[in-house]
Amino acid sequence: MLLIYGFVAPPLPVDDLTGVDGAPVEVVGSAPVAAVVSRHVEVPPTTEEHALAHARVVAALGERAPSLPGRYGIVLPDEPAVAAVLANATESLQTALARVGTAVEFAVRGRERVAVPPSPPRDGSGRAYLEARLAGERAREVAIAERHAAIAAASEPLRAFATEELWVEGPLGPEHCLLIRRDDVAAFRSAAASLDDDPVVRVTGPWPPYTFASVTLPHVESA
Amino acid sequence: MSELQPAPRPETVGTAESDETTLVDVLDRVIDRGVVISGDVILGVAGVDLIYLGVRLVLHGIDPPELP
Repeated sequence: MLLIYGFVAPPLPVDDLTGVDGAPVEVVGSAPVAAVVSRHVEVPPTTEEHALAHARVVAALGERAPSLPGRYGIVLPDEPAVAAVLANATESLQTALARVGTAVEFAVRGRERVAVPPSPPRDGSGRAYLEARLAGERAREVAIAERHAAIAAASEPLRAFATEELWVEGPLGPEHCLLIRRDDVAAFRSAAASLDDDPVVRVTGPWPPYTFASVTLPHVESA
Repeated sequence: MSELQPAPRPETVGTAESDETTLVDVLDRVIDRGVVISGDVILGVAGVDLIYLGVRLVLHGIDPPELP
């Protein structure tokens, strides 16, 4: 079976790359869009180590050519199945590849997670419990709005460097993701350095453009 | 074109941040973002969830889901 790492416009040399479980990485498919995969006898167990091995391959691809990161955990049974997916989604993959190119993403996010209010004790009345839960939820909504505003203010001067931007909900709360061309990374970092000491907001990156490649392709049965 | 450090753990812009928080950034992207194929064979979804939950638990103040 084939574990997918991402999608590229071939040809692209990947002979020097190893992926999950040290498996060699190869390109399956032909122009205009191909998949980057590794072969496995069984579905590799899902571990942090494997997820990070996957991330390393994705990052290496982005440094070589326009590529779209695949989400970790996509396994297709064989090359015909890969070919079927590629044939059915050539246009959308090409469009996404042209849009993202070799750009990277940075994220402006909070330094810490937006606080989740503790659950109220269940030893009081039902009404008191529900009122406490409601108050907690309202407090969290206010905290999220404040975080969002802080991020928006901090990222405003950085938006000029971005070719695209997206707001997403990340593990620590809202994130403002900015797609930055590689040629503009140095200037972006210089501008972002003004946030070094910001007590609330942090800028992370560069990452492969995962957020801007959040595309769902239709699955098709291979012949 | 290759002035960038290779992932998976890019530097944060600014002062050093804990490895745990950066790891969460990495795994959130690897597991929850990027191209996906609908109806594909996904590696044990429960396993992915467990990794994700485990990483969240590393961070202070990130609570496990409330059990019924």
